Amino acid sequence: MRFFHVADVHLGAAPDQGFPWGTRRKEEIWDSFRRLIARAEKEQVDLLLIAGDLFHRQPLLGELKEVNYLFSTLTRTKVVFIVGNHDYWRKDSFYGGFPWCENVTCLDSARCRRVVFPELGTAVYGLSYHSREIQEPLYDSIKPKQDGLFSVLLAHGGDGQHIPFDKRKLLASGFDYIALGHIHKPQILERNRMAYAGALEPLDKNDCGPHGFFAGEYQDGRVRITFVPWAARDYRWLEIRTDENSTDFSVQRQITEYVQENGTKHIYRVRLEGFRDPAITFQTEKYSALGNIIEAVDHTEPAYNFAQLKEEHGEDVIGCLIGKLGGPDMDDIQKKALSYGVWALLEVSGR
Amino acid sequence: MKILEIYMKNFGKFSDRRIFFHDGINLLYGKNEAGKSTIYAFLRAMLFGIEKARGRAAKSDMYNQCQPWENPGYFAGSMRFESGGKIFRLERNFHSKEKRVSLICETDGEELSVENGDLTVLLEGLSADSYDNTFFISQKGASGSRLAGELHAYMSNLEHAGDAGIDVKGALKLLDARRRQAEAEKKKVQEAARERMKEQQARLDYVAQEEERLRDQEAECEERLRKVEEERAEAGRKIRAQESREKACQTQGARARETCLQREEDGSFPKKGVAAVLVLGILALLGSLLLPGDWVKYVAVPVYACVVVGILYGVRRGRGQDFSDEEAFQGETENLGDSVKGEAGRAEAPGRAEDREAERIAEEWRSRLERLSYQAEKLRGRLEHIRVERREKQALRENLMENLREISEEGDGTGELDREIAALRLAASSIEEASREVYSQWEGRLNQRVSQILEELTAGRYTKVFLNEDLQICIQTPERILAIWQVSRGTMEQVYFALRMAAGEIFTGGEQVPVILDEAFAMYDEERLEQTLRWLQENKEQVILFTCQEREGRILEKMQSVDGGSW
Repeated sequence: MRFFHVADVHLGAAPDQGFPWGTRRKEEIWDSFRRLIARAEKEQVDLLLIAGDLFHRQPLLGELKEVNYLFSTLTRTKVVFIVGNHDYWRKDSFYGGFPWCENVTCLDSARCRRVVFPELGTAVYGLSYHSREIQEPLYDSIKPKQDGLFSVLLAHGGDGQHIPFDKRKLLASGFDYIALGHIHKPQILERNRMAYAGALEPLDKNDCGPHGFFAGEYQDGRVRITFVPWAARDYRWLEIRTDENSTDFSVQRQITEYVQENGTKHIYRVRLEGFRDPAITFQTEKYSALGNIIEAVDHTEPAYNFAQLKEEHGEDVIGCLIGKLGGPDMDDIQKKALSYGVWALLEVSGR
Repeated sequence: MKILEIYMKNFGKFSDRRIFFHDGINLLYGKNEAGKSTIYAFLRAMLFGIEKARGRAAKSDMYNQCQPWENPGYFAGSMRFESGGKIFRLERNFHSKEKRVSLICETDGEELSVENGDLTVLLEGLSADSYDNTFFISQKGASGSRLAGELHAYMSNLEHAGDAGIDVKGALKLLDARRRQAEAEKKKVQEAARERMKEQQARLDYVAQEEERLRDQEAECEERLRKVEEERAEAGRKIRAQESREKACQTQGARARETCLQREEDGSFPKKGVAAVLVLGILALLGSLLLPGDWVKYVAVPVYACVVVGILYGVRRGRGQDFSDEEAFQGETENLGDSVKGEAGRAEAPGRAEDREAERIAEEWRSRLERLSYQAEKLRGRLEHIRVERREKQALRENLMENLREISEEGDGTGELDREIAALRLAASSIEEASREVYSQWEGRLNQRVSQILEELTAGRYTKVFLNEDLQICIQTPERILAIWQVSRGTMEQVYFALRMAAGEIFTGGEQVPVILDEAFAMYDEERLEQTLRWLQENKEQVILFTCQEREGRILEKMQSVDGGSW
């Protein structure tokens, strides 16, 4: 029995509005899901599990129809999904009474229900969100029936506002596989037993790193899952180490080269770390022209040797300022303030 | 630190010129244009380098003034000096295109780095500005009142910096400019975020408007459907009535048709009445046929009369009912009215015509019902469509509202700039605090030392210099306190000199550096000059004094302790 474990597709989301690539992201998320369905069909997987937040918000009727059409193109695959906190099942949701095609099961009850596929020897358990938040640990008390079927729990949440759960309790509940959704970063909580598929496509700059889904196989009583990178693009950190010799242009060139080398389609979060010549200003606001740069943050410190400066300046204002602000437990703002202060004082004292 | 010799390879009017210096007071005497200022500039240039000014200032800057007259490309020199018991050689090439500086300790051969501040350390921490403000005293063309102002500025700058070389106010201005720049940037970012919000809001408004429009349409459609349904029910009633009427008529036969109609319409009383009358009539008929001749006259005739009267009464009641129904119906509809109107007038028409008319009306009612049913069906479909569309808009509107809420919760992305602004504010306030601290720390020391020097310079005539609450410089004599503008120009010069010496000592931590004086005593009278030179000789290891007057030499000779120098 082969299955795909997908979560947090967030159809309808439109990330990065206001950025040049933002206009295409909404479409890309839909396309990604379309490609996924085509892949499931091509590979003739048995089960497509969607662990909540298929939609970013309340689905519109048209959107449900599109998704249902895509599901209907699956000739072999059975689809089971739950409704997450983003698209929660509301009294007036279009989810209510929607005529899903026959290979699709929405476990839409607020209490845990299961759907059994005798031909697959599999039972899928799950419940849906009927409100934006659920603080009760609903999963802690769920146990599969002891009927010899391969039992899967489709679960969504894991933080304080969204069905918190105890990982050990959940593992001990007896499910063969726990397909999690809600946390956007793909992560395996227990090898081949319990995993967050992560968002199919990253949804904002905090979703750094690769995104996709898990392809799983159940055979002879054993599960094996493999991560499949799938997202059209990633958010990536681009950290540039600078020193006294770095200039604004040299940094710009580094960024350009890195982006060229690692893929211009990706979205980068640029971070400058290290020291800089006090006379150099990195014009980070201009870096957005060098690629898909969603932010550029300058954490560099001017290459002042504060200890030596303090020595030289002894008791004058510069020495006193270093004594005042400097220290091993400086926070970020103090560090910045010290650099600015020393820079300004040195600038006017003509050195 | 002491300067041992300088070598001007090519500097201003000099080339290949070497001058040696010794301990104590070195007098460099020369007429105007002999080159005193050039040597003075060379000393400064060796110690601190020359920055080439840009733009308009370049015409009169030190670089251009000191550029060699011949071989301007070969603009260089060297200096040997002693510090901490070691001898150092400092070489500089001043030419802007090949600027170079090297510092070597001749005693142990170590190569030092000027860029890393090794020279500053040998100069006891004095920057060019603090040297200028203390031991490097050049010609003062200043008038008395300007000198008082300058003194005051000097004092207040000291108050701010604890180092006359650090322009705290200037630094604060720089930080302020940076902060304003960051704030402007932040405003720009916020503006863009607001713009995005506005866009979202506009979309939201549009969708809400659409929703409202659909809601109106829905209400209107519901109302129309309600009316159609009402009419349909009415038509249904009419048709059912007509049908049951027809049924009754068929079973009762054509003759009883009117009675039948009457029964239907009149309810229990006329029905019973008509039935009773009929029974009477039939009995009377039978009686008249069966009973013998004369009896008929007395029984049957009155009974016949009764029957006729009864039937007429019943028919009239029935018609009356019909009239009122007809009127109500006409009030409700317009389209069917014409065909139905006039029925009343024909009510008394003979039986066959009436049948056909009733048939026709029933037919009209039926087609009307059909049409209404079709209309209702269409309206229901339309209503369903509108409802779905409205719910769709409602969902979309709620989603957009959520978007808006999220955007406003996310903030406008100015976090980094906020930190920047906070840091700039902290920097400014910390500098102000530091400068106050520094000043208060050594204000006392400075006052004390200035007073001491002034007392020595004036042989006890003035005992104390201090700043009063209004930050005015005051001078205390054994008898009274004088404000700075109350003393003579000469005394003012002495106060300034004492201040410079005291500040310099504090900057260098009491370490000796050469005092370099360029025509500093032109305004001194003989007595003051002698006092000052004596003080310098007693207190300073090395003094380099440029003058174009002979009196310094004379006094020094009188003091019998120096060699006059010239070049």
